Amino acid sequence: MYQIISYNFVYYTLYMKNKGLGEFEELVLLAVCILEDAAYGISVKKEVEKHSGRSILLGAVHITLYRLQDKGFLKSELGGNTEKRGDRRKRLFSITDTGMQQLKAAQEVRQKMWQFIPQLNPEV
Amino acid sequence: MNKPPKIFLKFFRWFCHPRLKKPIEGDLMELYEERIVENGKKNADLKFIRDVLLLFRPSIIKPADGTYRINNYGMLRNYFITSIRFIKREKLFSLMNIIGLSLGIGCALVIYKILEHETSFDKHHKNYERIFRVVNEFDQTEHGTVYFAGQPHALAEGLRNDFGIKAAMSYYEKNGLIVIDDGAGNKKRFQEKEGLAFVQPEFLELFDFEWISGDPSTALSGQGKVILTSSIAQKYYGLPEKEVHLATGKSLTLENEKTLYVSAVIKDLPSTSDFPFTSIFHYQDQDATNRYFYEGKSWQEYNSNTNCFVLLDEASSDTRLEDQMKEYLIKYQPEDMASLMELKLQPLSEMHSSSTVTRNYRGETVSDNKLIALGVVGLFMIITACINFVNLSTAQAVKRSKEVGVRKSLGGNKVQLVTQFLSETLLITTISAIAGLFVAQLLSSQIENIFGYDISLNLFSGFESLKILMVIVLAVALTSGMYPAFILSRMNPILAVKNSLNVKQTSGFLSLRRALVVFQFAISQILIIGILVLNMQMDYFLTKDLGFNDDSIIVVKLPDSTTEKLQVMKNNLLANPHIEKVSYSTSGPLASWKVNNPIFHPQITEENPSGNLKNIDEEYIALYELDLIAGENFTSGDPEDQAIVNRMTTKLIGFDNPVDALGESFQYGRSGRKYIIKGVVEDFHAGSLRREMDYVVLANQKWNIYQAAIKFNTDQTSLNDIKDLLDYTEKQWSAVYPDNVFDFEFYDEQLAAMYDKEQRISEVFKIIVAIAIIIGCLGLYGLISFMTNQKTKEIGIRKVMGASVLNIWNIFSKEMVTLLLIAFIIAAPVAYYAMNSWLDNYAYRIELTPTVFVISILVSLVIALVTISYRSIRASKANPVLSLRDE
Repeated sequence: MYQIISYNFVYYTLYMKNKGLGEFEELVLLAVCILEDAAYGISVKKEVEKHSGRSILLGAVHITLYRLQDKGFLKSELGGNTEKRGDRRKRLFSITDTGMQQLKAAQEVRQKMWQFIPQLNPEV
Repeated sequence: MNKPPKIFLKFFRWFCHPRLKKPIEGDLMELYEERIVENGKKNADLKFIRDVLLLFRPSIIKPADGTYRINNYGMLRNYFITSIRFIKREKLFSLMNIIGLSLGIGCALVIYKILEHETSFDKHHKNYERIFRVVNEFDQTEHGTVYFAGQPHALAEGLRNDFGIKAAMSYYEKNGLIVIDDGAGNKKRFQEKEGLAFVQPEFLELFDFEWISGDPSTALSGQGKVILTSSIAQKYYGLPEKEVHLATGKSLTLENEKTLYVSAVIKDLPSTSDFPFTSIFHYQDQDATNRYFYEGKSWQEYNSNTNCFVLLDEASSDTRLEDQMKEYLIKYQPEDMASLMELKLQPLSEMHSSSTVTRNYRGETVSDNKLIALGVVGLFMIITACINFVNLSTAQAVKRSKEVGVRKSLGGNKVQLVTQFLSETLLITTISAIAGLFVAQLLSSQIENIFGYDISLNLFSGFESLKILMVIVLAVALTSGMYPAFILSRMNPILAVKNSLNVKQTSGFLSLRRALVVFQFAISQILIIGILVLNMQMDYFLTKDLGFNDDSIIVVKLPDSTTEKLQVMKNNLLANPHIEKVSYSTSGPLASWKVNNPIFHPQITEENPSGNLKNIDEEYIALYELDLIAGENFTSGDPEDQAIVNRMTTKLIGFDNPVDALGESFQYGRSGRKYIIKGVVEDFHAGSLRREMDYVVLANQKWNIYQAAIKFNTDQTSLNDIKDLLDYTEKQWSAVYPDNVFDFEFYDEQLAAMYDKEQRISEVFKIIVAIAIIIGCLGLYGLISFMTNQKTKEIGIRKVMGASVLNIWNIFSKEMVTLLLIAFIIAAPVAYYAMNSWLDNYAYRIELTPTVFVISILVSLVIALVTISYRSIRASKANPVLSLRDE
């Protein structure tokens, strides 16, 4: 048991070291969180477009989703069909614990740095 | 239901990673449906296509691995790995292959670059197609039609007025004294050796320059203005490159006569310009340096440095002006002169590479034939390198036979094997091409030194060069890879695995291999003969008795020839005991610059004989050790209508015995004066040995005195003594000409420099010969290793029977010598013909002696034997047990 834990720990830290979070990846991750159970290619694309105001390519979204899955920040399962999709089932994504941790960590780093910007916090 | 464009959907399904296929396709379809509702089908289709195309990216395309391989990827990878392993295992063989190919490719690249350079001259002018140079066609019945580009000063103005076209004169002067006064009384003097141009303002409308400062339309609007190039402005005014525009408005003095103001600064002219200008003056300002300017109004003064350019409305095919100009000169010239020649138009594109008008401001032109010859040499280099590769690769065939056998028995077919060996060749060629780039870099720096121009071998600057490199790589890989690939793939698998190549099976290609080696040998022998002849001719040029002495003499230019100044300088110079003689004259006995005019005498039978006039003083004949065979030397105070001529001239006017010609008078020049023959000297070379000797007239007039010749005492041999003497001479010279720059040359060096062109050709030749020999040796080595591989058993048996190393070495050498002799039989006549026709360019030339050919065959024999000895001795020293055991 001990061995397995330590293995996971090493694996995790290595992961964290090598696989950071890119800006677009972060947006996608956030969108997946917002969408909860309905996160798949198009909905994520639309969500990111809605918030960021920029036009995004479907391919970019897919690549990012699968990359995040490879990194262990997302997990996926096959979802149901709709009329429009014929028999092509959706792959629904949801965030993993690691992903959540990563998001929080990124947020914390930013928050910390924000505090030290004198222009933004004149009283400090 | 609406369907998206089928072909793109199919494309998507084909390339997409199976893991992603369904969800993404679903997304695509969903979006498509939505878009149809929003924007209509057409828009949705377009967006669908866009999405599909943008999805075609590495992380979505299915990997070419595992179960989803793209066709033969795995096999190709295996070929690649095998090739790498083979290269690693056969290090020497691969190294030789790569060296040979990279030398060939490097050479070809450099030659390509030279050709590109030579053919891109003056193309940067936007009027390139429409600019023409007016040249003269001079019909000499004796020597055929001759062309020259020198024109009278008034021609352009005449053409402008009479035909209403744009025309401009230009005059180019190599030598000029420029003085810069910094205002505080300090004067900097520059004796320029090139780059002074005098052009009419219209010239700037015809040709393009890149202006840094100043206005093209007013830069030469009047006299007293000068345009400088960036680098010369930096030199004159000590400005950093970024501030050259500050030179505008500054002044300079030309030949201590005219002070001019810089009106504009232009960028340096590109290296591919036949106008090597550094400073451009107004045409009328040339009276400061050109004594024969006559205010630019003359219609009769011809000078090869005075050219006329016109701009036509349409490109090259326009011959209307040429027709109009046919009878044009008669309007301005006396009839007998005007009838001599006809005006023709030469397109700017031919100015650099014309074989008829052989001069431009840069110097001599290159003829198209020479460029073609160069291209052929480049091709030859590549071909020999390919031959080499073929030889070396087939030599390895025996070693590869087991591999081929195994591949074949496992079901590999012929096409696959050919593909394998071709891809291997491609790999080796690519490596060689990269190495070839380094070779080319090395070579080009050599060539740049020799030719003095920048061929800027930056392959990565232009897509063009990279394309050429790729074409070369593919062509070489295909031509040199085909043959070995077919040989190898043709092998019988059973025999191949047994490692016993049937002699019958290979005899055909053995003879081809021999033919290839003979071909290579022949090429290197032709080249060796070529370089030998070239060097012998150069030697002949430099050592031939010219009929006068050129040793221990320095020549110094004279800014002016005031009799008093010359006398003062002479007295001061002769005061030094180590200075033997001082003579003032037009030029030395042999000079590149000449005054030529026809000689008239009632007894002359030759048509238009042209005589070379030099004004000399009484010391001249003694200083240059000319041989006075009749009459007397000049003495000071002689009347100016006397002349000393050479023996040829006395023959010309009908006297076989020179003594009989004394006292005879002849006319020199169309409207020139008469001279009485006072003395006769033995014939000497007044021009380069490329040409026949000239008729020479030596007169003692006081004009046209341009140069002082100073002879040092010959026992002054140490370098320091000579330096002291030069310093002394400079001091005396500067005392008389304080406003000029002392500029001297050793006379023998000046003469040697006349054969600069030949010297440079021989330098380039040496490089080519060296490379050709190296490549040839590699090919030879390939052949010999093939033979030793073939004869391993034979050698073993011979050794068991008691043959010595020498005996075995003999077997191989005998064959090589035979091949060499066959090659020689091919090479000798080709080389004889080629070198003979080259030597025919020269009036004074060596005869081709058998020695040259003997030397060439000896040299190639030695090289060949050295090359094969290493391999054959190693083969003959091998333990016979090892070679015989393998059964």
